[in-house]
Amino acid sequence: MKAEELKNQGNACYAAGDYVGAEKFYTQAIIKDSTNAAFFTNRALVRLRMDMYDQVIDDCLKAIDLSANSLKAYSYLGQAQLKLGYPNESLSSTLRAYELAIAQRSPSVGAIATTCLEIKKKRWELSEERRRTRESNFAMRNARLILFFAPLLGVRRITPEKIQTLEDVFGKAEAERYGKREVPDYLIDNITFSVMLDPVITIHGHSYDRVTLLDHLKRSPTDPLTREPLTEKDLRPNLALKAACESFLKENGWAVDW
Amino acid sequence: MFHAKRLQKELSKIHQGLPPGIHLVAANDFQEWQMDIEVLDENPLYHGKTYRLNFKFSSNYPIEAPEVMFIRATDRDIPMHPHIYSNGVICLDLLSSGNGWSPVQSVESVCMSIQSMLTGNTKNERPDGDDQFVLRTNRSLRNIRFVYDDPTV
Repeated sequence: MKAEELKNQGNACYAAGDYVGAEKFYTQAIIKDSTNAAFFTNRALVRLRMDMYDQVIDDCLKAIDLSANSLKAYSYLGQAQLKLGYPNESLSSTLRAYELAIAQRSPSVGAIATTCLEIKKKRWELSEERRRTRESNFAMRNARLILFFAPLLGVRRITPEKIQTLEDVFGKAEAERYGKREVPDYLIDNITFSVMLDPVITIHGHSYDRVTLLDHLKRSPTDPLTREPLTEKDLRPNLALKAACESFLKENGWAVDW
Repeated sequence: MFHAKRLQKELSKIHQGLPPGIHLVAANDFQEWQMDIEVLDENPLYHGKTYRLNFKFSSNYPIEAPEVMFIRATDRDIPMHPHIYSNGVICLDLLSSGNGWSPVQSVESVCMSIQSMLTGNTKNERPDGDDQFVLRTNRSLRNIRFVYDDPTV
């Protein structure tokens, strides 16, 4: 069988839900012809479904070597990196996929943009988890130290009330950190009502998230807020606002779901 | 699509409070919601009455306009207005899928527009050709082409 036929066999298996069979056919196709990026991205996808994340990364990197602008390769690479617990790497791969999707006018651009925001949330959750562990260890050590030295400080009896007070002090600091959950209006897109990923500014001075604004312009070439005529050529990236959204989400990953 | 997420956000904002005379009746999913509106001034046409609006969202909302019409229910009738047909269909530029709709509009802002459309009305009448229009009920709302030929209302 020719490489292309083997790939088609693999696709048929994949469509039928037979991932093991699909992976076998893609591997045979690669053995026949190791210069076709599509064979590698197809195998990456089926391996993604089989939770073989390290192998997904190998396939994607190979595919990128063969075809530097492979949207699928960057997209699967990002998914595997996230599964393996590398949110920063995952984000930069997925952002690359997003750029390619915009440039290639891919219909999957909306889904990729959503994934970028999800990864930002995941990254924040992981860093919060680490920080919490660090801080609670620190608080516990301090609490023990205080109790240990209490007699020296003239505290004769350590009552449950005193322990409670100690816990309250640490608890209060924690609560203040999490109490405030507000998203500034200027970071919120007027169409999706979410924090923006890739804001563009119109000639009328309003900013919108690129993907949904392009969607709107396809239906109606107007600025949604002012209703003045607007086309894709009139859009410029709003880099300052993009940086503001990025740094806000870095500290406030919860805002992705807000 | 992000329509569920966006509606979820509208809903949590609605739960924080709505403008006077606008109430949420039901929002059990992201396909259809019902809202009640009252006209708050002394307009004798609508005084003391409450009307019910039905919103239908496609998965392309808010890029695509929602389908909005008045519906009948207990104590809820279709308001008299020269741009509202007796089957509840509303002839409002804002709701037309052409250039009238804008994705920055929301359920709340649509309710407010319809509320003020009633507030400003003094004519106790239906649109021209109401009878024929209502007979053609099997046509989809979205395909209706309105003619905005009456600038006085």
